Amino acid sequence: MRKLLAIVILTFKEEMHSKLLFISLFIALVCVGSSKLFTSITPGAEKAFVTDISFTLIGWIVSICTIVVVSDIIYKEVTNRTIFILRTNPVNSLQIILGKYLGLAFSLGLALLIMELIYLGVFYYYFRTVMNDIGVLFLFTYIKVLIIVSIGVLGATIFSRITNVLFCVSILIMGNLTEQIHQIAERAQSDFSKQIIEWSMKVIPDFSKYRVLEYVAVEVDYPRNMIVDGVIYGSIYIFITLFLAVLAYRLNDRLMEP
Amino acid sequence: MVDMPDIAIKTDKLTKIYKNFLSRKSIVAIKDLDIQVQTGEIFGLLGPNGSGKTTTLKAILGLVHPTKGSVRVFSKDPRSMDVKSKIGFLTEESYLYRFLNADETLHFVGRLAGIKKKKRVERIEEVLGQVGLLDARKRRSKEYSKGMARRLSLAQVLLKDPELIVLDEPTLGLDPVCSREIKELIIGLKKRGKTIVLSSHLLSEIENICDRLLILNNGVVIKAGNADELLEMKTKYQFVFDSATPEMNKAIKEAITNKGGKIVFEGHPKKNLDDFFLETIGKK
Ligand SMILES: Nc1ncnc2c1ncn2[C@@H]1O[C@H](COP(=O)(O)OP(=O)(O)OP(=O)(O)O)[C@@H](O)[C@H]1O
Ligand SMILES: [Mg+2]
Repeated sequence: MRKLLAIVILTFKEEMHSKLLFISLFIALVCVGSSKLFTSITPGAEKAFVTDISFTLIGWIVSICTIVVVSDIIYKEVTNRTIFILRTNPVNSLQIILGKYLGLAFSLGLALLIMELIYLGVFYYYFRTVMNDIGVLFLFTYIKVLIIVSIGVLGATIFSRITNVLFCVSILIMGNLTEQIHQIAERAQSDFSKQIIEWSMKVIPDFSKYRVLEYVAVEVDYPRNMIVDGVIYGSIYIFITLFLAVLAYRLNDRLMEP
Repeated sequence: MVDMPDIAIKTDKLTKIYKNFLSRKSIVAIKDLDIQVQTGEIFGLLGPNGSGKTTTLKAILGLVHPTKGSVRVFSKDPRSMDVKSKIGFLTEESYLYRFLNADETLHFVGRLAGIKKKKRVERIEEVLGQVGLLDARKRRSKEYSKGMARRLSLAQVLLKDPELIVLDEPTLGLDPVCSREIKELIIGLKKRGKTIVLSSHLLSEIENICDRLLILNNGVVIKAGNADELLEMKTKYQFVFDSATPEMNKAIKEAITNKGGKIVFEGHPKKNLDDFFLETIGKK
């Protein structure tokens, strides 16, 4: 437990010293703050517009930020040779992977929380109210971040930085286009390609499960089973991905000779 | 075969070949190394640059996989958690988390080693004092000079009070004062029953602290043995005496030549530069 905590604290401190989080907070502030400027077209739909545009932007900013931060979370230990410290102390691969994961989950969660508070502040300033069900939106945005972190950690145990960024970005994009990909699969000519697409859909995270923004923004009730579904799906996905990351780290341990 | 309990390290035909996939060339870093280190001794690896010292140390610590042969540390696989909690490794260059200060670095390492908070705080105080970094403890390690970084790396090794301490060129980049302090520290560790393996290409550095030496060249053992025995020139003998006068010297010289001895050197002994330097700056 103490060892796990050591890695969590290390990762958290490291991210707090990176400028990236602060830059993305600043970008979020500018984007969210100026969102109302674009709403003059349709009076009455202003609240929906501000929420929609804010969360779409926050979603992308935080996703990109996550990918950049997580991309070399393991590999940099090798390039900086600090891996020697980890390798000559009694700490196992599970503690390292889980520690890094939790450290990132905390620091990115903190960044996301601040972005969401910026949104709340801006929204309240304009409209003197808050949206119904905004909590679900907060929760789902965070679960998506957690899923991306787990994928990034898995990638980081296998790939070097650039490759991992590409890996994560492609998964992120595909994960957001699951419905379109399903349509493609249905129209596919050969059974073989259909099979391949169906299989890859099982591996890629299904972010359509977290599409709650389209309900919250227009203040329509979202399907009630969405929360339970989303939480369970996210937990299982993250669990499996981290499990694979630990395995990959162990195997890679034999290959990586600092 | 059962390892004796008082053997700290035992290697059997340890071989490491680095392969380069692109050029298909392979480099034999070490070849058929048989090393045995007893607990409680200071074991020195000597050799020119590129002779395989670092590779040997890394193999002992399980940081590189032997291409052939085996390593046992305290009769166990060096990769086992049990061994990892008993070893400390000073790398030849200092690799530190640049965003942490000395205190944070040591707390991190202490936590990894599983040391409880109260004990950790005490130990950190102690080792920072030992390496002389108490004043710089709140500065981030990226601001450190090379020597300070080296001392922090050493503090990290000392913190967990390991049974086996592996030091790759321990005095590299340190000034003579600090080098001497480190040598004294190493001797102190030996007195407390620790096993120490160190490497160097500076012969004088190892000379007076190692119990046993092993000389490597191109990855093979050239010579191994007891330090005193290796260095002692059995057929030669020297006196150094105080209040020497020319008459005395002449008488001794005559006595030796009369008995058939051949004098190969005579003259005043010289201080070595290290001692002279230390005297000059008033540290001795
Ligand atoms: N990661 C590596 N990949 C390929 N070759 C390597 C690697 N590490 C070391 N070598 C080669 O192995 C040989 C021994 O290197 P090693 O670092 O063990 O020498 P050394 O005795 O520690 O030298 P120095 O005194 O310069 O530190 C050298 O020829 C070196 O080029
Ligand atoms: Mg070396």
